[in-house]
Amino acid sequence: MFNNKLIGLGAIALTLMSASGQAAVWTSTNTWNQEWEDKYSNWVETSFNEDFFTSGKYAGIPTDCADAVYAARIIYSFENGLPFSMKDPTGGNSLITNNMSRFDGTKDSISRLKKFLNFTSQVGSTKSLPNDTYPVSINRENVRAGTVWSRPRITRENIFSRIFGGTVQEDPGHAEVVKSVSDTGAIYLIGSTVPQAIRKLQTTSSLVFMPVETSTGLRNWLQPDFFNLQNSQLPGFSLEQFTTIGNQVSNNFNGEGGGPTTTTRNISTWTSDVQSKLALREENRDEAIRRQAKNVCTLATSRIDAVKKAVAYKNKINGCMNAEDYDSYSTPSRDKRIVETLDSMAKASGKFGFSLSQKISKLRSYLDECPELQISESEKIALSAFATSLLNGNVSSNPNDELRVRWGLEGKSQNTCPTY
Amino acid sequence: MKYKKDELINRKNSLIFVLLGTLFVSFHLFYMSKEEKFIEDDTTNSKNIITSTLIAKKSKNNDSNNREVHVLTPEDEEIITSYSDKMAEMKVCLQLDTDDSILAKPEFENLYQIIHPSIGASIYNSEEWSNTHIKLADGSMRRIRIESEAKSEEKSIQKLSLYEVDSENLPVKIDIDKKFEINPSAEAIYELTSMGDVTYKELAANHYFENGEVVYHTEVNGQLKDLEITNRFGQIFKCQNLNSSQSACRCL
Repeated sequence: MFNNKLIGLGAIALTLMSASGQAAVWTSTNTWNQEWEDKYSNWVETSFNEDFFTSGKYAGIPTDCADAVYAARIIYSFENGLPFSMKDPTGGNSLITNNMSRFDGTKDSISRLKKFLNFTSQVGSTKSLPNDTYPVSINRENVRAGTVWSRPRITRENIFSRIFGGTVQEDPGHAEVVKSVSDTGAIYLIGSTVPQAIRKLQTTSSLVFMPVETSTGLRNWLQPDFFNLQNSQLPGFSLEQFTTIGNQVSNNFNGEGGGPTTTTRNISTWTSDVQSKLALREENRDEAIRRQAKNVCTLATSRIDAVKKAVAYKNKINGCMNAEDYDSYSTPSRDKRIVETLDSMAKASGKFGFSLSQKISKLRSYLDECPELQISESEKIALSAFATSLLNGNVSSNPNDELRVRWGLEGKSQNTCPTY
Repeated sequence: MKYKKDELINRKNSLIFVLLGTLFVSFHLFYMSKEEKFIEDDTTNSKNIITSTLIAKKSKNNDSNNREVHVLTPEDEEIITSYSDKMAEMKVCLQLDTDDSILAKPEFENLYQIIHPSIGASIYNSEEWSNTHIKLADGSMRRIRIESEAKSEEKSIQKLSLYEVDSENLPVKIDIDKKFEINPSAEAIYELTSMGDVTYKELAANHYFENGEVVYHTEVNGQLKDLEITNRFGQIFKCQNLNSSQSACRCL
């Protein structure tokens, strides 16, 4: 009888021990290899969609651009029992991994995962992504769904800086995930934005910048076993996107039948080179225009919500926004990006015109393939009309302006609030 | 006439002052050269050898001026030699027009002395992020991370985060007052870093130069670690682990 009691106590003890012995966010039961990387890529292309954080199992997870990039890798790792590691951005020499025990007290695995995501979001950013990824050669094997596109900072150089020693403005960077690479070599990117919020992700195909520093560009994840390897041992490692890609050689004609050449790199050549390297066939003009028109559609559609929030806030405060709110609710960067995308569209078309507005007017039919923009409950406008207003300088980025002024429907701003 | 006499007296006084000043500086330099023995490099035929601060071999234990003299370990000497070699590679890679060389520990200040005569002055510098580790009186650790963060699509802020460290050596965020968290002042940062002894400091910084060159570097405890210089022609000189004798650089 005494022995039976001992056995019973032992069984209870064992049960309790196993219940409390989680000691990890999730347990690694698989190991990263090429096959798993292929599956990850396929998952990003088919399942990491725009509503990933607004509906389904992971609805309600707030993201900014870097959070979404990290989350894709972490969630896939969690769902497939794969390990995840990142360097500790606070300077500690331990890696942050799924084996950390801090969240052991949380029994539900999804809740535990969300706490881990919150933790990595706290410490991770576009600044930490270069530590956890590496640059790759530009080909369809290395650049595909799941590849990271990032830069830790955005530099806006004042045009006078080289002449008068003016200012360089440096802003935090951006990061997205490659959603797909078309057979014409166009890279589609999916990502979030700032500030951190629960939002739908956005897909576009404009790369926006040319990688210069080697901490930027198209990058693949360091698998946990890769952190101690030399660069030469990393699959696909290459610095070509910072050196040879995007080079444009020009002859400095000296009037005597020749002269030295200079090599410069520019974003236009870089983007074109990358697309060529990834293409299985050439993108025809119609496809190129349509692709850029779709980008304009995506950007303009996402502007609807931004402007609505500004108008709602303005009505709430019933006065002028202060500097902080002005920055939060204004849209100059967003509007500038739309203009740049329209410019890309015009270039793709090769249309002649004395102004961008004139060139775009000849491409209305492409823009109007986009559903009309529902700017308010009672009003819609055609994308082509918005594009024309924007290019003619009639669209307002000023968050103190009325809704119709924001969309270029009522001429110039009439508000007397300060601008910042 | 009176005015001319006064002018002559002023000029005479100025000359005496300049001569005295020159004598003082000369004496000071002569005295210092008697105290320090620089590392010699037979291969250097430089106009100027930049030695940075506090490079010395300690020849005597009793320094009459009680000045701090840093003792160079064999590892230090290897680092200095390696760094010197890498800087020579850098000059070739970036086609820097200078005969200066470095014979010092890898520090940004001496790097700047080498590069700025060729590429001009820096017009803008920014600290991209920093980590400071602090040991409190009770032995526990704190980490302070400061980095620029996007507040919106239009504006960025400097964000300070304070962490304690758990048993797995991982950071645990501590809530702090907004005055410390968002665009903290130098005084606020000092207030936090003064709560204990700084045991470790690392940072990353960017420097933009008037002719278009960009220098990115990381430092650990004041010594250069990683370096990336992009010149106006797109040439990149990239180094890792300059603070070790196993540093590696590439010209791209």
